[in-house]
Amino acid sequence: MKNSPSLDDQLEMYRKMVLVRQLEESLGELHKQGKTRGPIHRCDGQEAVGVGATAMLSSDDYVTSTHRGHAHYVGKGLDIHKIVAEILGRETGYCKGRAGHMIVASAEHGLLGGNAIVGACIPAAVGMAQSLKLLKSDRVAMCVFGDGSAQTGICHESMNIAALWKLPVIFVLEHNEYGLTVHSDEQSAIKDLYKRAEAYGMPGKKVDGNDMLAVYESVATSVDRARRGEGPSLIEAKTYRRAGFSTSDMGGYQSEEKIALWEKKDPITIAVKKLKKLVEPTTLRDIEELAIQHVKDAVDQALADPYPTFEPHAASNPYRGVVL
Amino acid sequence: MTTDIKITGAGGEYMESVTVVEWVVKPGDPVAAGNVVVVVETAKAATEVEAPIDGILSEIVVNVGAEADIGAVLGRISDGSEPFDTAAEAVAENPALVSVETSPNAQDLPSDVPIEQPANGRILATPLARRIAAELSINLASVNGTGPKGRIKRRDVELVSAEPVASPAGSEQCVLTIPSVPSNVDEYDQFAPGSYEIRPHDSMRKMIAARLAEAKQTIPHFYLKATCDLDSLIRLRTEINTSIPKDADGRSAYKISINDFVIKAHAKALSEVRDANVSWSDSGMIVHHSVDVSVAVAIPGGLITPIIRNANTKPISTISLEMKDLASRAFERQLAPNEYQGGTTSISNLGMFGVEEFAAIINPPQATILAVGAGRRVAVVRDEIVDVATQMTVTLSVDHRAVDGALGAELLQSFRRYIESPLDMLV
Amino acid sequence: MTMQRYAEALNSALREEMARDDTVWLFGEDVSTYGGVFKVSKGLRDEFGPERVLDTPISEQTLTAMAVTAAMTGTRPVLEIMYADFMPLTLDALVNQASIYEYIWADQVQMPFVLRTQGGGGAGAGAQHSKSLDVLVAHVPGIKVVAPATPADAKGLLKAAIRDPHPVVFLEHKLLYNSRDEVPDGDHLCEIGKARTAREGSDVSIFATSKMVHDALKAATELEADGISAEVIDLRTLRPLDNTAIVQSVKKTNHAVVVNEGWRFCGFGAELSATIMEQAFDDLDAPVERLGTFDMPIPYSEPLETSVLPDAEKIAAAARRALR
Repeated sequence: MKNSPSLDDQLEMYRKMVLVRQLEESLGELHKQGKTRGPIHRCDGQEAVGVGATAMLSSDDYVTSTHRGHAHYVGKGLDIHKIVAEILGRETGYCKGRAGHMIVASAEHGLLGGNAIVGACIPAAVGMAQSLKLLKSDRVAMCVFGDGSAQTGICHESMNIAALWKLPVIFVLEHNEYGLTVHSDEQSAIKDLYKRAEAYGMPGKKVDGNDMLAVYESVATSVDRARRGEGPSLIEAKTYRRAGFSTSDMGGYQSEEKIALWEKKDPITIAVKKLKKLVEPTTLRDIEELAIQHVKDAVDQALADPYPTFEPHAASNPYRGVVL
Repeated sequence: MTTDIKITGAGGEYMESVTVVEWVVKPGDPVAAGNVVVVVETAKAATEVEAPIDGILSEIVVNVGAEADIGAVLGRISDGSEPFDTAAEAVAENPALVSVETSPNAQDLPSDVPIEQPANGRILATPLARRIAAELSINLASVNGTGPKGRIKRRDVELVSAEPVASPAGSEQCVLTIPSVPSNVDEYDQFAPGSYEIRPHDSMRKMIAARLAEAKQTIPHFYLKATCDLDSLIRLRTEINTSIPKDADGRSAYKISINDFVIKAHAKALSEVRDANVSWSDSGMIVHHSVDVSVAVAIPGGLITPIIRNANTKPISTISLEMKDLASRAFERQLAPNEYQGGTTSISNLGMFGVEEFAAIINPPQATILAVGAGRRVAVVRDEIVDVATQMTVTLSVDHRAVDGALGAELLQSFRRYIESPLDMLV
Repeated sequence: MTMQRYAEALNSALREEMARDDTVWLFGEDVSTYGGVFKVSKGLRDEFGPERVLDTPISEQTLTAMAVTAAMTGTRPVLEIMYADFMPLTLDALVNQASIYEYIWADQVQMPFVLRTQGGGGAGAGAQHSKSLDVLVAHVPGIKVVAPATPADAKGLLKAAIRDPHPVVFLEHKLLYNSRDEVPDGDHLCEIGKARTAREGSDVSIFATSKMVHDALKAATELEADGISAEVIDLRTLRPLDNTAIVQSVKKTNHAVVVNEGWRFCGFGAELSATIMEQAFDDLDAPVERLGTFDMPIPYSEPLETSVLPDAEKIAAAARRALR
């Protein structure tokens, strides 16, 4: 079927989901040990959106992400060691320790980048798409954003402009039900945000965000459309934020029952169930073990990496000439 | 009407002047007769001065830190019959009030704030004025500020200095002249009206007055006198001067004077007795690395002290030529500040006027000055025989804070040796 | 040399740069078909086509965010924000996005975009269309801020801004658009970050930008009648600030008046006077005099508006105060 991933693609997506899960668990441990700085926004249970939505992109397509972007980073092909090194504030990180875990970018992978201003990644992708259109390129720009971002004014402005100018944008709404502590039902009168697409004059779809194949197939259709110059689409991937807002979250506002329900719908469990029909269980186990070891090695290496040394930044400097 | 606050010969104790230590009330504050308004200090003790009447302190005439003679008016108290402009006073203290009370156009401060230095004794001066005063060794307390609130500006320092200071950027700056008004009329009362005229002080006169008064008051001078035989030196000088090349008209290119030798000898002596080549400062002894001799030159209306730098290492001919050039330019007041500021010792020679000997006032922040008298033929006893010799008497004034007696004596001994064995100077 | 109006000089700059570089494009409200409400982009749509000269929805936040990311993905956008009063809407894109990426992403990207806007009072446009908000952007590291006073500088600086690899906010003044002066022929470029001596003098230095340069020159003429020689320095660029020119002039005159049409409190004059204090303290023979718009909303009625804005008369009075 068109826009279905090959078996190799599926195994690679599975590998990336395991990498992300292991990364999130390792970061949780490192945070508890006081080895990270600031909050960490984990995406345990949401891996299928980030990995599934980016799997069909090439490295010169652009992705803009959120403060909860680890699955998007890994999906877009970023190296685990350089991600961890960035989160640990090391010279060897993608941004030499200047960005931290929320704002990681890798220009060579087209990931520009994480964004900790909720909603800001949406117009960012639209601007990139406008550039691509002017350059007469068939590349695309994708923003992955949450249900919180969907309520911003710039989300409206961006979807209007993207549809108006038929820009090659894919709006991937990673609906995890929470904006910090407030449930989406208390932020929007409608449950299904994809319905807004029609009002802007673009296609809108809803998919199971915990099924990587469903995400892949739905997004791939929209990517093809955008590459053909037919304009943007909105895909709403329904998932659930199991890990709290961040490592600083004291919890208490999400029900245990609901968390347990979504744990049963774990994206990795779903992927394994489907893949077992196609490959030997040992194949999956080997992939899993290698991925876990990969993250462990990356963490060990990053912990041993040097910290950056401070230097002023000429392009930010306000003065020329005499300076004290 | 206002009533003066005066200091009288309180306690029957003889006093010439007092220093104001503290104003207990601020201008605009009410005072009651008998209450203390100002504290003054005599040479021996602090004395409180009481308000003569009930009223409002309308004016402070003598600020904290300033001196006043007995009988002088320290301040004035208004009985309230004329309004006292407290609003203007408040504005001067708190410019922020202006924008609250006035239209937007008056973010401008009023231009007529009182011209008066603050009463706490701190001197108001602009950074530029402070910098120039420090460069010229001018005490800001001796400068009359003409800026807002009596702030001392560059123009005020320049009035006190001998010459306008070249702007760092090399630009021209117009120096405003402020008519000098006698600040204390008492001196004039001593003389019959019409028996004198007043010649305003020029800036050089003011600087001489300020610096030498300060030197004499603050430096503990002591004096060492020595008499030196000049005969060898005179013979050497004649030999040298005869050997100097002459031009077509038979004139020598230059002519060495006795004073040139004195400069060289003093410099050589200081280069030997280096501990005397110093300046006193509160934070530590300034030990100079070079010997730079300031030579007092009388010019119309005053004197100036051009410097022969590194005089200990310069040939006598160089000293002679430099001195001639400096003296002629000094006469025309054409010296640059670095040509007359910063010597490490001084020489003052009044021998040409027949003065046998005298003691000079130290030129701060130097530690020594050599006063040179006239050479004269005198009878001397040598080997029990009365002989005739040419001698001169020099007096070394020494800052005892920096140089003790024995060290000063060592310096003078060395000087005398060079004068009496002048060939040693030239090798 | 050609006599040109300020608006025409800007128009020439845009035309020349669009002809020189295919990746330069313009967008903003009313800039295309109408040619801009101040006619700065007049005729450019006809010459370069609607793909490169775009009318936009009223969406300043998204437009600015788009400029940021379009610039980092291969094109050179020039965005017109119709009034400086609308600049607060652009601030997330400037402060949280454009400002940070070069440094935070370890120089993986550059953002060659120009945000043009116009501000200033004196036209009776009222409290929401008359402000000078220079400091809102000049405060932020990584963004250059340019404010030309003459047609020649308007052209030379705009061309330089478009070619600059970094974000440039370009501040125009509504009362200058019709001012005429000579503009050098040919490819006229002005270096960003370099002040210009608009008039030489020896007694007091007046530092200004934009329209205030003209008021300062009038003040200087007025002061000349009183025997006061005022130097007028047109800073041209607020950031990076030409410290050398400022310090040199203060060393020469020992008196400084700083003028900016923005509000006085925390205004650009505060930065200038602090700079002078730090770098030329020992050359100051009087406190720095600081002029700005009086700290209140800009009123509509002419006598009220005139009262709050700085002008030649107030500048001359400030110079006299400095010289007391």
